[in-house]
Amino acid sequence: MEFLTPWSLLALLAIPCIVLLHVVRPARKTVRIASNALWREVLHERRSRLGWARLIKNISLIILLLFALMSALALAEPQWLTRTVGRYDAVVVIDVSASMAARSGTTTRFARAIAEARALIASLPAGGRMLLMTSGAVATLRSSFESDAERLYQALDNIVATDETGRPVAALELARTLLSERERSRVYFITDRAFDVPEVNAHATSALGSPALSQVQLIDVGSDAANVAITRFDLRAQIGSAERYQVFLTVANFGPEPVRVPVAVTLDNVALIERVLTLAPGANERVIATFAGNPEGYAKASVEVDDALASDNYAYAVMERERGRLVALFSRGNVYLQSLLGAFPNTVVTRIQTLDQVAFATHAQWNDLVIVDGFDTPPLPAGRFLLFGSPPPGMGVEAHGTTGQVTVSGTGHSALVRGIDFSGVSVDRAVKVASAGQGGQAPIDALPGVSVQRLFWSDETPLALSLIDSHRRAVWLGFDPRESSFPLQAAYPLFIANAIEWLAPQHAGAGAGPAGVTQIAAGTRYVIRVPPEVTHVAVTAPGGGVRRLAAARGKAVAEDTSKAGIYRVSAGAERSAFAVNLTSSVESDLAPRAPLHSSTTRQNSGSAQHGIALWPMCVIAAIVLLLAEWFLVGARQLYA
Amino acid sequence: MSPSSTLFDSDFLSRLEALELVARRLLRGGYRGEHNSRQWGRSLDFADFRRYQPGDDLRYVDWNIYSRLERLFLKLFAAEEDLTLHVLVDGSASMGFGEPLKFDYARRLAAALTYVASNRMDRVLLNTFRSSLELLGDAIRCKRQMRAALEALGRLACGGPTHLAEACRTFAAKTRYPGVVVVISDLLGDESACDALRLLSRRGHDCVLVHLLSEDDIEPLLEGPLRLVDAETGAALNLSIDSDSRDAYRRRLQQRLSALESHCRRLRIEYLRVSTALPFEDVVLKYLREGRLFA
Repeated sequence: MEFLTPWSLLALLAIPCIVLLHVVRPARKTVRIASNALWREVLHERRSRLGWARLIKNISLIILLLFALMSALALAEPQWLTRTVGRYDAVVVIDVSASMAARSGTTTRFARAIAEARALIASLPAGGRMLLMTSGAVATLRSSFESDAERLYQALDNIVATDETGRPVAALELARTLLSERERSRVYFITDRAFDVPEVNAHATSALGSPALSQVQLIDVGSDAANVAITRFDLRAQIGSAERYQVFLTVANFGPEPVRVPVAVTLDNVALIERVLTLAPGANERVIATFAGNPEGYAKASVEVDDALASDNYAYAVMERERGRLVALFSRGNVYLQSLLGAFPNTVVTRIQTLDQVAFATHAQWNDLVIVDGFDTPPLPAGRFLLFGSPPPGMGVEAHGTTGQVTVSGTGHSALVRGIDFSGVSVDRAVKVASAGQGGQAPIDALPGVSVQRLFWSDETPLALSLIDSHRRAVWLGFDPRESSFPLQAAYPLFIANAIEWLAPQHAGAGAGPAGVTQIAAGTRYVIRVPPEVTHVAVTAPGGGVRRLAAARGKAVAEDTSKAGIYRVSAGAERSAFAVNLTSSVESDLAPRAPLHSSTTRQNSGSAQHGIALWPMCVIAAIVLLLAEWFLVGARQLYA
Repeated sequence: MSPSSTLFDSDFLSRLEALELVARRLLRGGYRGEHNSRQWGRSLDFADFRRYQPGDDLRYVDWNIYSRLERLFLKLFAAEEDLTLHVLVDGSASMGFGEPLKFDYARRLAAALTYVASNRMDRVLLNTFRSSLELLGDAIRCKRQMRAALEALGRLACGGPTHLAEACRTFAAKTRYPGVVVVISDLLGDESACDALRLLSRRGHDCVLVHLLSEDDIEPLLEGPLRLVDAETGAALNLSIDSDSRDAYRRRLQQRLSALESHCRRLRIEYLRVSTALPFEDVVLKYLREGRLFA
């Protein structure tokens, strides 16, 4: 049995007070009698009655003492720890968040958690089933409900510690869901309690309060530990300067003692910052530094300290120049357009001579801009499009035949055409468009769900439109430039440049401008963009392990980012990298939080125990005792 | 203690004079008196025959038997002797309780016994005992000596512990012939009473135990948390007395009285339980008479 609030047992001090008040009596009156021999025998007889008479005589005192005892016990919230016999289904949730990697004596919290899990598997009764689950950034099932201990041991052997920020609520919710239909069930949560208790408690009521769950038992493997951590690391271009960069670093001391720690930030082994910080207990300090030069490379921040958790002593960032604008050109050949696109800086054009729907969708996802020239415009997926010819289906306009030769008779107020002179442009044949539905009578620029703006037009029909809906942006020209004088005009490159910049803008000074910083939190998915033709990507983890990922539609997803460090990506001929960091003050604070109130906490015990709250019984007993005393007082007054 | 004239009124005295001390067995007296004796004597009560021996007084030869048997037999007559009454009055501290005081009651009882016995020319020896025996003056043989007896009783004061057995051992050693022994005591706090009575009985005395108790001894009115101090030993006892305790006391007292009574019956000792709440005259004239102490 254990007490959740043992200090409440101080209420037991009321017991000696009650006894004292009972013992203190008025002084005895001295009476001289002929002989007290018979009275001595009476006294002896009274004492020899095995105390029952005295017990009955002092029943009020006994009731008061029992009431005080029961009240104190109820305040102390006793729980009866017992082994539950018989089969049951159990979910063992193992906390694999970063704090579990903290050293604890000669071992780690994670190793102790694994040992606890082994003990739970060993105590699984015959016929009982157990499921292993880990609680990291995501809750992950490590086994199915198994009654075979060997399989559970194998699944346990495959569990490794991570550098992720834990989300225990999600794991407990999942455990509740898994056990919601099972009558005899229990959840073991093996954790160091290094997470925010209020958040867990707020959810624990709903997550753990199901009647289907008999109890959730918290198996505590945590202990106080000193730790210094990098809780933030960032690099970015200095605002207003394309050549200077800023480093932001936050170092926190979660230990009980002040510490002096050397801090260093390097970029490709070139030191950017070297300082020694003095941190008071519980304090954190920010370091900001500015540097200029080549922004490419691997940045690494480190604090030189021997503490309980090593993974938060380092933080990484990968700095790369932004890649150029990717343009997919579906065209059988257009010398004007190709020449013009080739002239745009930092723009990579991929020409595709055939158009099928699947390839079109893939390129729309992978490229910044898709240009359709000389094909019938297919239904547009999400993306940015520059369209020549037929209007895009499903965007509120549709073709209604063609025109003869027309000239530009007007221009709109859009920034795309502002300042451009279209007066000399003549078109041999243009597609006549009108609003879809209502017989084409509705104004084009008032279509529901689509923002359509006429850019320039002839007397018969709009010649260019800009179209925007919730996930698509397009500029449509209703004629083939090669069948017009448009390419020969100065307006052509200006309009195309405006359209491309509007559809796929680049940062100012793209190609020589600020670098992009790639860093994610451990445990989050990272989408790797690859050329469409690439089908596999090799990702080398910080530990050296290589994982081959399938790529499709121009992207691959790196799911396993549980370890902090630099992940190197090889996608065909392309090489890239991304950084994974812990940088979580929640995980770096290794101090165990207060125990969950609705569950049982057990400190480093190998046996599986089950907690039954006893305080309601104590309260009931106290009430019954009060009623008994009330009855006795009434009876004495009645029969006195 | 006042003289007999003031101690007892004339009517009571006249009734006392009608009483006679009775012995339930034949006892040997020192002097001629009015009670049959084991000795052959000269009374008118025929006792037995025996063969004539030369030198016997021929006046006591039964000539009628001689005429029939032609053999000489001598007629024997019982002797009439006085009785010796030993009165043992408990003078311990426990006798100083009750209303009236047990000790006063005992002294009056002793005076009454003395008066009755002396009226019949019996010999009375007054004793008092505590842890030892004390003889109160000379033997009293006639009413003229009553005054001295009353003065001796009047000088008595109670106090100290009781040890009846020790007193009886002393008494047995001093007494030459058995007599009527009347012990007047409350027998409280004295565990030696049975041994003492056994000793008296073995010595051939005709014993009467007057067990004198006050109403406080029989029905104590004590209540609540008390410190009870024994008057004889001074020992204190802390006790919270309630109705249960009083019931237990009465039960214990009754057991003790019953045991004492049966013990006296076995020893052929007359046991008379007397409460001081009873009128003294009734006790003497009726109760003691029913107890065959008086006739």
